[in-house]
Amino acid sequence: MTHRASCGLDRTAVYRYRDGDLPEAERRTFEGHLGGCASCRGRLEDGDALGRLLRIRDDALGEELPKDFAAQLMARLPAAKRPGWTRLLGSWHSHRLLWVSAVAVAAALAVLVPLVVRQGAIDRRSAAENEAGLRRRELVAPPVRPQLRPRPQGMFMPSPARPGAGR
Amino acid sequence: MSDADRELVRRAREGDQAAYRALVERYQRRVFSLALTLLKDRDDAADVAQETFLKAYQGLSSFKGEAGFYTWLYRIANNLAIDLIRRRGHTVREEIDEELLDPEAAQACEGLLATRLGVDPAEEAMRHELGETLERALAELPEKHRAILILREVEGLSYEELSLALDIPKGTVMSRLFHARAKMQRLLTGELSAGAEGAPVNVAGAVASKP
Repeated sequence: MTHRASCGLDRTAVYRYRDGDLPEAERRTFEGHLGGCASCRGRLEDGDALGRLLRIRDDALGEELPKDFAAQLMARLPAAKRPGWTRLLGSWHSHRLLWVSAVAVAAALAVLVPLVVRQGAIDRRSAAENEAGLRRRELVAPPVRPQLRPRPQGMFMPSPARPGAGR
Repeated sequence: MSDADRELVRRAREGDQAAYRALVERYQRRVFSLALTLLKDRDDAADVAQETFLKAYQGLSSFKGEAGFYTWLYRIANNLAIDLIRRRGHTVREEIDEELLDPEAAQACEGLLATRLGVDPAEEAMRHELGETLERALAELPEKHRAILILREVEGLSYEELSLALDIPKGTVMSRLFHARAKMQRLLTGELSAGAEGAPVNVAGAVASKP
């Protein structure tokens, strides 16, 4: 609802001017109007008087604050601070998305980690068994030597050592 | 939010209680004054101010810093005070005074308050009658009008900050301020016209003597 002053101006404009809420162009227009309008000047002066009166009152009210207000409050802070786990629960509403994501990640990890660990164990066991198998085969059957071609007679070649040779 | 407040809030969030104490000491008088204006009882006002700072401390992690720290405090204090009034079984007055919508009645008061108070209300404020008159006039206002008047005239909140502190649209801020001021000016002008001058005592004495 618009409240018109006797000059025809919206009466809220006086307060908006006083409160610094009028845009620059409107502010200049209003200042031009103010010079010739006793009604708006009177309202403005009333606003200033009321403001000063309330500030004087507030200064006096501040004196009523209990002297140990801050100390009392600080003594209550540790009690107000809840244990870690209840604080975590308490933050459910403010961090719901974060909590849902964390639970989903935890569930995925709970499923995946044992699988990965188990697969790793299987792989390691298979590798160990393969290695052991290889070692067993090496012990039972001597390594297969490559077939040598017959050496030409009279040609100097170091003869391979034979069991019983040189006795 | 000022850089100093932002830094104190950051440290307080990390558990630095000395930083939080600095914030409390900076704003305790202002929060208490707002609560006392709404509740008109010193003990209730101190309790609400304590609860305001406790609640703010517990909610520091959810404070986004979009508005000033004090704007956030006023919002908490205002809500706690209104809740207390309701819990006590009192009605939080919501009405708009239809008399204010009468342009002739409003115009009849224009400029009178400033004239009655003279050029320096500080001198006048030292009068016993004036302190009581002011309290009577404030008591006539609905709580929401009292709150917006104090937050604008004393704390100097902008319309945007008032909108955040009181959780109302900017249009409602303008309308509510208009009604609050118009009613106060009319009440004070009427009281001062009819009132007698008394012995000089300060406004605090008049306020403190209220039950």
